[in-house]
Amino acid sequence: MIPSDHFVRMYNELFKMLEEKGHEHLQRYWMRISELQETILGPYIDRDGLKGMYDYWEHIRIEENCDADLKVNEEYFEFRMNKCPSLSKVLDNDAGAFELYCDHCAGWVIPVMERHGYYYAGDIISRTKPECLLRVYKDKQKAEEFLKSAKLPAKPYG
Amino acid sequence: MRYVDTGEVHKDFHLATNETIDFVLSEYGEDFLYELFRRTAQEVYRDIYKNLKAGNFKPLLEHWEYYYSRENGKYEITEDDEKVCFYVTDCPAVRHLKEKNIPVKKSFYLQMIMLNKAWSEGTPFLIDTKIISEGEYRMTLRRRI
Repeated sequence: MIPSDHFVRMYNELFKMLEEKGHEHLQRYWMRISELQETILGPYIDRDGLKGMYDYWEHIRIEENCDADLKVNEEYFEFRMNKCPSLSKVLDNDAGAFELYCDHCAGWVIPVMERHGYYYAGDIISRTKPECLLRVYKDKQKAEEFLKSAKLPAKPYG
Repeated sequence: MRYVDTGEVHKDFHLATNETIDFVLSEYGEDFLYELFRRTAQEVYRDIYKNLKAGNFKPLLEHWEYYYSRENGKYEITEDDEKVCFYVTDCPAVRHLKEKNIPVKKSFYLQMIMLNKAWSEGTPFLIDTKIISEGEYRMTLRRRI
């Protein structure tokens, strides 16, 4: 059994293998994971919009042992990761980290948000330090405005 | 152990493993899936594999005990001069899928079968994985003759 705690290290290996075949293979996999995540996160958004996202990621913060701060207001939902357990595990890994590991997060979140009429804006900040910032806006222009100030905007689909 | 996790457990990762096996098998086939588990067994779990190659199966047994316990799985371990048997009577990954009303396909068990095959490769051990019923399987480790 791949323990729940170790899934991300296997995930990281798959990313490397798919990237070797071509970046579009990796993007197709993110889309597939996004379809799975739609069945989990989607009902929270349908029920409560931005507040539903807060509820979903609050549950993730606890279950995945994240050091993170969450915020929700009329304009956006924010998830500020102070120490990402996922990237931390991948960096603490005898097989080594995949260079674009962080992109998987936006890779599955963006299609879910688009399906629900929201706009994703993510700042990876660094690919080697486990901290990042995710925001989801109601308004497209505000999301684009936020991305202008991002250190490393998450754009997994180019 | 090289990797030790504490705190909460996000068991929905088993749903992602299920989806991943399905995706890889249908898009790329069994060899590609085996390569994924081979890299995981031999490169991610390098310490376990290195010990197996040196004739020491204890780190693998410790890994199984720790993570099946951490996810509240049920298992029995029997050991004699010829073999060590890790008999899982309630697999936590299978249980989680069932709790989420996700059908457990036969291919879900490939994670156990392929990891064990990859851990056996080039080592003095053979690890046989026998699926008995849903969530029940036996992993038997023997020295090669």
